[in-house]
Amino acid sequence: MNSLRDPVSEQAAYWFALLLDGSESEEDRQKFAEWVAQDPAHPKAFADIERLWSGSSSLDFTSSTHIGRRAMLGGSLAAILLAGCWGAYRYHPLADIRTQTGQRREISIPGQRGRSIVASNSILSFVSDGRMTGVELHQGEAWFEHEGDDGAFFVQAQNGRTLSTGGTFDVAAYDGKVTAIAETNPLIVDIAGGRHTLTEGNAMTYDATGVSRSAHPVDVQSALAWRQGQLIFMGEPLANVATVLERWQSGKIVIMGETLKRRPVTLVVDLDRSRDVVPVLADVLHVDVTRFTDYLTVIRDV
Amino acid sequence: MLRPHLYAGLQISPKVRPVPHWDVNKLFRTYHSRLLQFVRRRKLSWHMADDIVQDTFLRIIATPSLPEQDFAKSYLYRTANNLVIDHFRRERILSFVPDPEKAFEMLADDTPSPEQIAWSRQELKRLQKILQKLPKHHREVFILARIEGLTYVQIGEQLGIPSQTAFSRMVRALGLIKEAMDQAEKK
Repeated sequence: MNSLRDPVSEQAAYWFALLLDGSESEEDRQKFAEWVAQDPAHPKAFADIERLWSGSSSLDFTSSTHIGRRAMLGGSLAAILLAGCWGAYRYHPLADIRTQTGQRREISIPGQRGRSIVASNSILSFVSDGRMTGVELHQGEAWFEHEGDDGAFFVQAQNGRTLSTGGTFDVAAYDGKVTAIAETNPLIVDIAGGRHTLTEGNAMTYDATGVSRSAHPVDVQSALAWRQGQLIFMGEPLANVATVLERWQSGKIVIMGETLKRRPVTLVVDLDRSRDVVPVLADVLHVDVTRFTDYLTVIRDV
Repeated sequence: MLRPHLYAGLQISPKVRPVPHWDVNKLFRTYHSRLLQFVRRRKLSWHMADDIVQDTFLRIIATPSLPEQDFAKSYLYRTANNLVIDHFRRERILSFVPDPEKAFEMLADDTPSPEQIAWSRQELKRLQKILQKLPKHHREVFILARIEGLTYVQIGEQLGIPSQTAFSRMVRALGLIKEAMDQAEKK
């Protein structure tokens, strides 16, 4: 067998090997860029190879006899492990407002009579499109209250714009997804040419590809309880709970095991005491919680 | 809440005692800040340095076979160093591509979802098996590049082969690993 069955994988392997040690020529770089642009399958295959490379970085090649016994633990310890990620963080160095982890902050909005409460770990800028004032939410979540008398007000988040003519609403941008919640008044959400109306008491979610979840009723008070310093979870899978908690406290929460990740959790968290939350989970869910300093918490089945 | 010896031996049931056993918690306390300093010295952003050090420790938890604990320190530094090199390589490669965020849409996200990048223990186990089954010529080139971080010229010198041959073997090794992983996933 001299060639692989999948020519794209073979090409990706060639390019990865060529770019590996930095000795490629300018011409190679240009050809690589052309290859990437030729077909979306190309960058995907390249990323697959890179992922294998990254995964192999921690394997031990000095001994080959230990695998069997240790592997028996595999089922119960399906640990996720975050390999390095493509691309860098975006820092938005010129943003106007940024909140620290765990912080809630009330701000006033230039050009509007109103206010905003900004959630933990959020970054936003005050913007204007010439006709209206607004806010660009780079990441995180913010709740807005404004008087319609000063004109409409918008919140730009990624590829979409949420427009309000007065009242209260909330926009959250996490992990490439943006969710808008209409609290007291209808909102207009514009995404890549499409216009959607969101009536009060409803939420919708969009991402780079368009609407990922159309308008649906939500329990607004629970969803926005963070403003009063509470997080409310009603039968949420543990993995989702951990994702939300990670926004409010520093460090990663790693859950070991797929079954455990899906386990439903009903919980009210007092944000001013959120540091105590994860240990509480240990008792409530009968799981084992280990905190390796502030940076890393591991939850696993007992 | 510290339970210092939770991972000592990873003793889930008395019958299964993994070899070797590392006290991850103790290692974390001993090496976390030193590793962070080590990584930050490489001119990485604080966020990225934190991530890399966390990932280094997560790998200990997920990796199917670890060397004896005596080698823990060098293993930790080596893994962190590999992750740093991988990170800079990614940035370098992305810089050749116009509009990399579009080309690598799934991958250049601010915060890629765990599904996109996560390695499960089963997957790592599979990968390790596949690496061990690689033809010797290919495996030695792969390991010298991956673990020792050698260039093709250096690998060529060490193995007494032309650097072009080392390169070809690397291409072949990567392709074989990819194919074997794809086949294993289908099963």
